[in-house]
Amino acid sequence: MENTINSEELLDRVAGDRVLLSELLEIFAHDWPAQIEAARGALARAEPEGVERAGHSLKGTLANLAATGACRLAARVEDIGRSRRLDEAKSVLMELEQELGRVTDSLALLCQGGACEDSHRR
Amino acid sequence: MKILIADDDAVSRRLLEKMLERAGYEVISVDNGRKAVEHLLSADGPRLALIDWVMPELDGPSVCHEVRKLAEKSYVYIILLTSKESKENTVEGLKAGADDYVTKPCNPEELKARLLAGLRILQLEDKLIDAREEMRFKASHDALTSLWNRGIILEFLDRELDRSRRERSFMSLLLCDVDHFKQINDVHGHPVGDEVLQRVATLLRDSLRSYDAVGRYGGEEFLILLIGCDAIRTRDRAEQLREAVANSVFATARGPLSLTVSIGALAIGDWGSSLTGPDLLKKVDEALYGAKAAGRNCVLLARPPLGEPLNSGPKVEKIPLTGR
Repeated sequence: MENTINSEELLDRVAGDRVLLSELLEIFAHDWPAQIEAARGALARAEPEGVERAGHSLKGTLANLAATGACRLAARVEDIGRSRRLDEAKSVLMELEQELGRVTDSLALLCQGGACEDSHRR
Repeated sequence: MKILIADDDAVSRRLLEKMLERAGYEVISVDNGRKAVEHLLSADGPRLALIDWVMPELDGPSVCHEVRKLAEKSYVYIILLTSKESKENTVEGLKAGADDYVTKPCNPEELKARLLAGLRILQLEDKLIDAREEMRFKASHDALTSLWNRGIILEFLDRELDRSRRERSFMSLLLCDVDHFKQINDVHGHPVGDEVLQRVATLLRDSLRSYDAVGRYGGEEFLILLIGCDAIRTRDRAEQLREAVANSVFATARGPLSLTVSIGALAIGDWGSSLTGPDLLKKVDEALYGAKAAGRNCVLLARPPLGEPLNSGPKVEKIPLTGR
């Protein structure tokens, strides 16, 4: 089964700096609910551009955090907005939201040094 | 080295900030394209920039456009950050004025290497600008004294003459010659003669206001333009310069030397408007010759004789030396 976060890749990216990792977690935990809210708002107003924008933004953040699965879901949200096929947006957003919760938990664990054992890092 | 990061994604921005701070850069970061342009166009703004493609207000390619259109200072090396990987996007970014692009999320080592490539371009630009400035300086300055050279001071004369006539403002010329310079060369050697010219040049330049000009006119002759200076002030200013030289002791390789200068002076308002720059130079040269003939270490003001045509030659009056 795919890990929520590729901790090896993420720790590499932050050069093992767990203080920086905590900062990133704080920023992320603060930002993602607003992005989900923005996507839902755009969906309610039937504005595909807003859905695409929120999906794109989350995709970039999640790629940086090496959250592969969530990143893929955010890319789907972006595609749905771009292709203006909003009918499946609601379910994908729900799936993404659940995954974002898991990403937050995994990050918190990694910050405490817990996830290192789960990662491929030697 | 300053570097600008423009990215609306706070996680990505913080990661890049840390990455670049670790690599020794002085990081400025902003969250939209408009702020990026403001920083990049500011006087002491960063010359390296990492710009995200998708941003509010102005996107990455638009930032490139604006900077390339408006930047007048040094080159800004721009790397676009993109999650877009298609060839069309790359071409669009480069056409907009980006120098390079990296795909997000960035690999730290790759990003650092690409920034080093940018730094090499900026260093090359610095070298070329330094070389151009050196050439410019050499083309306009006298190699020995670093004063304006003859060509440039004569250009200034023509330009200032036009301006003073157009604006009906005062202006005057001084032609200043080191007394017994040949003797200095013969007794102390040419290197000391060169040193003397350098010291006198420095003294003259330091004695003038920022909007006056002094250039090396010939061997030991210096041409000075005094802007906004009428006949009475011309006399006083020339006398001050003569006195400053006479009261100085010039350090040379052969020990301290005292020397004097003779000065021919001319206030252009005294000469009507028919005389050209070369005509006026001839008059001031005649005044200098008169000063030499009158015993040197003095100032002579060239004046057209009363009742005679303005261009019939100067009547030279010797200014008495005070306190000597």
